[in-house]
Amino acid sequence: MAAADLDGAARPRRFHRFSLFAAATLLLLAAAMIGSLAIGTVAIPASEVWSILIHGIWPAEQSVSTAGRQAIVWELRAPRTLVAAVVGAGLGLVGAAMQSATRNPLSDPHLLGVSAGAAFGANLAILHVGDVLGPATTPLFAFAGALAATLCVLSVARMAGAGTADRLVLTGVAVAFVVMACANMQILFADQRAAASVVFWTLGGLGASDWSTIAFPTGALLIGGGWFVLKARDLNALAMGDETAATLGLSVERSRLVLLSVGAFVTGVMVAVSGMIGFVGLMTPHIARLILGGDNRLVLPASALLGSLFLVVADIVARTVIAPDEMPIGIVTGIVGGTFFVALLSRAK
Amino acid sequence: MTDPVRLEVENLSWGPDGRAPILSGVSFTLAPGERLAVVGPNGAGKSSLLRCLYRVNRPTAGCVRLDGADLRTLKPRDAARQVAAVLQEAPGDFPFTVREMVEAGRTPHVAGLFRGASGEAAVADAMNRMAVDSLADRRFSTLSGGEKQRALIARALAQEPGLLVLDEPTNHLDLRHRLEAMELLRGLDLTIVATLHDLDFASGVAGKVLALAHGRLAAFGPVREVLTPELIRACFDVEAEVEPWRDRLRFGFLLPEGNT
Repeated sequence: MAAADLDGAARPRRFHRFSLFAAATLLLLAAAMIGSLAIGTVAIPASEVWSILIHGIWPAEQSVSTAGRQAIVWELRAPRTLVAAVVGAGLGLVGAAMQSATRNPLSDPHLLGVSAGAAFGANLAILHVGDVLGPATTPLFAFAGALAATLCVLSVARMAGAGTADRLVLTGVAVAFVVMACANMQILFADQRAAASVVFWTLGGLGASDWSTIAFPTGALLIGGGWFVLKARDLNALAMGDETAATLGLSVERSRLVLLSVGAFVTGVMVAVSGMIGFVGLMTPHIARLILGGDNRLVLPASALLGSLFLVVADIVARTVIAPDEMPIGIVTGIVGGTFFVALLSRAK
Repeated sequence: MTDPVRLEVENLSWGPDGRAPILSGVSFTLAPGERLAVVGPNGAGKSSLLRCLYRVNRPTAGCVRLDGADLRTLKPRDAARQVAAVLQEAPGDFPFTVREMVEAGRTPHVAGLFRGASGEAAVADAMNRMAVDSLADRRFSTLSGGEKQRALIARALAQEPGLLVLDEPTNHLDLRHRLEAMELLRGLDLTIVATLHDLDFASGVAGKVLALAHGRLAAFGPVREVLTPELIRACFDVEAEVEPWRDRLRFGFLLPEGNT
């Protein structure tokens, strides 16, 4: 009976800790999002931002602001901030899931050739095809490329009989190299002026976000992310080892393939709207685990929250550091994230 | 708690695809609650046999039956409610706590996320029985070998199986922990199959012994009938002296004449 009491006391403690963490991160995220709406070439005070937001949601409420400033906040900054939050959440969550599913702490959402495939698709759209499908051409091509590359990795893995996590990861790396080489070949044979916009896409950016682009990453996050959270116990089992997972009732190879494919799909959607943003998916799960331990039931939502917060802040930095020009957000996440991560790791020792 | 199962292994063979079989024609039966030690030299097929029991290896011939049901016809989850395993696998870089490791034992029993059928009572009971409740919030990777072993057995118990499979449970255990592990396994009301290098330990914990040599069954029966100098010489290629000591056996080993 003593054991049951102890368990009853310890369980809320763990969830208590998670609630505290979630509340703190959500507060910071809200502050960062307001900041993201306020900060920019035209600085707008938070109170005015607030009134514009209320006007945007309930148009009946009169805003104290001018139409121009309303447009900056509501049409430009608001969708961009939301996309940053959603893409960050998606990359963080998928990163956590991919790391557990492959039992490899260096895995990230771009595993299985997603980013190389997306780059190939985007290059094709930007350099050779043009806007045949309207302004959505590049994202659509990027998404198609990501899916094609993932399928390619999975079928090569199947052919090679690479069922174990390590071999799957290595297959992903190998295929990604080939696909990336082909993507670069496109640049070589293209108009060099157009190649500059490829560089910008490759390094990631949220400048193209508007209200019409939000639905896709949001849907992918809610459906894919929700499904991952439901599979959190399976992810825990896989992280504990293949044979252990099998003794816990999983069909190991099949579960892993399904998990990684869903992850690649979600990442494909994210990459299509944001370009290639590295490091979020690799780093945030590690921070979440440092704070909360290994249980994916907590690590997945925590990684999503941290990814969200990190990308909103990174986007603010990207917009302001060389204003009025914009720095690709991938550069910011790389420098800020990498430095922060090194500091964190040396402290954790 | 599931009742101990009756384990029937019939003419079991296994080998990696397209290569010579590692196990061939192994048959034995355990009554519910019997404890079996699988012994044999390195490469005799002990781990392969165990993997057939916990469903990682799919037999190439013959079958494994739990209470009469062919293991292959069971869904993975249903099989996992019957058979739990204590393996030498560690969760690498993922910082699971002891409690999280033990809770993973509930995986085959729950569909949802948190409470519901998560069997907190089973988790608490398993941790209590293995005396790891005081370690609940410690990281698994920071535990000593003996503590890890206890936590892994607790996970297997939280699974509420009828058959417990252990792969070399005495590895990395010091003298004291070996004796504790022996007591602990003897106290479990489960059908148990364990591979063991340590014959003293095997004679102390098991009711029956199965000796494997070159993937074939060399002997199967009660401890004192199987663990004889003749069998040990045939299986392990060493000279042995065996003497009864209390409720178990004591062994002395020598390299055979001409090898020294």
